[in-house]
Amino acid sequence: MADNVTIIGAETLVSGEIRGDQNILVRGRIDGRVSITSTLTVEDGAILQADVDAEAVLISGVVVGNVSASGHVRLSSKARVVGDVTAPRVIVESGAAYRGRLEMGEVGTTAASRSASRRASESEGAEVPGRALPRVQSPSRAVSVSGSPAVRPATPPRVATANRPAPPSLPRVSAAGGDAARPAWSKKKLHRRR
Amino acid sequence: MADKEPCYIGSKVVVKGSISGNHDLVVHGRIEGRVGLDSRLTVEEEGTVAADVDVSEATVRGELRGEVVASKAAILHDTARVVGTIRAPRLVIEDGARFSGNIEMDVDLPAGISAGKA
Amino acid sequence: MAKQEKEKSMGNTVISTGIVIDGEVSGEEPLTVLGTVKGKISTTQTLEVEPGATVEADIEAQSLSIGGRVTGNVNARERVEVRSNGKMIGDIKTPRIVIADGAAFKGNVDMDV
Repeated sequence: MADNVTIIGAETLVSGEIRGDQNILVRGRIDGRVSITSTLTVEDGAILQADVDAEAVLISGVVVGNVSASGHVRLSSKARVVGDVTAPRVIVESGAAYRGRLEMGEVGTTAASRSASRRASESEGAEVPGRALPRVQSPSRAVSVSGSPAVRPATPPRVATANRPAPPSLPRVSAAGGDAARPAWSKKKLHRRR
Repeated sequence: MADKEPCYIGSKVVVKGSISGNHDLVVHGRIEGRVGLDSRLTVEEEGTVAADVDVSEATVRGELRGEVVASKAAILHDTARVVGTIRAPRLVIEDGARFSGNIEMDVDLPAGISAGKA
Repeated sequence: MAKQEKEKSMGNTVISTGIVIDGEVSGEEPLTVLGTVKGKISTTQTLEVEPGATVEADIEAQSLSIGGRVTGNVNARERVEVRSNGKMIGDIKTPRIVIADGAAFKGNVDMDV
């Protein structure tokens, strides 16, 4: 029997609250509130002016209201949504239009970016010009960087050793810092460019 | 006109300040401040950008915190971690991407339907 | 009969068993209720209240078939059928009415159209 899915047909308007534990497929209109423990599908052409609380919400139509899902929310390419969306997983496909607050919960840093930040802050302590940018080559680049004395792509990369006295405006990389304080690469002998 | 080569910020680099220009920028390290480009910004998986961003296209695989304006598109891949505001005509958020903040896109609503919230 | 049922539910509105609607349902297509509707129902086409369904609402429809429980006033332009397992409490206004053997009905019937 076709009674596991509730279908709000294209020519139907429901004004009020819909509650339940079964999937709902909307082709028509809902004004009010949808509160289900299952999946709400809003098809292309459907219009919801409603707050939604469901396990999963799949939107290809128009939703104006706050959407909250315990599972996920997907906005397909035809979706048009205005309102807050709260869910641990949210997928937005190219073509969807959305305006509102999108909340997936805490956004932690990735493990990769954490270790990159760690590495970056190690070299930040040294702040020796040139060493910081291994890949910026040409000084004639149109990308300009301002505001930071630590980074100078306009000058050709200079290879500096830990023994070289740093310019007065920059923190000193001193041998007195102790082996533990210096990153491993600074202990290597490097060729000095004349 | 010759192809513009992208500018890379290596993974051990920290840039504090303002970056502007018209070359694509690919970030493996860290940027704090402001990024204003007529071109594309890519934040790679190990990259972190804590900055206000104004670019033609923003592609994120790493971390981005700030106000992001993209004149063409903002694309968050599955490893992206983004906190802040995104304004763009086209937005893609892949399954797995993490986001917390506001999205500001123009939404054409059918006649007679008004958005309850500003 | 199964094919007829399938055709009926194609492109229609079906309120299935686990769903409760508190409010108004209005439409221009056939409507089948297997769940619960409290409030008001109006359709320019047929309304089916299936066995197990509960409708506490005033109803306006082209035609109405009751196999479940309906409490409310009914106005059907064409006909009303209260089936053998149907229970109807309320006033009915319709030009044609069938109340099957076994059906329960309490209310007034006005067939003057």
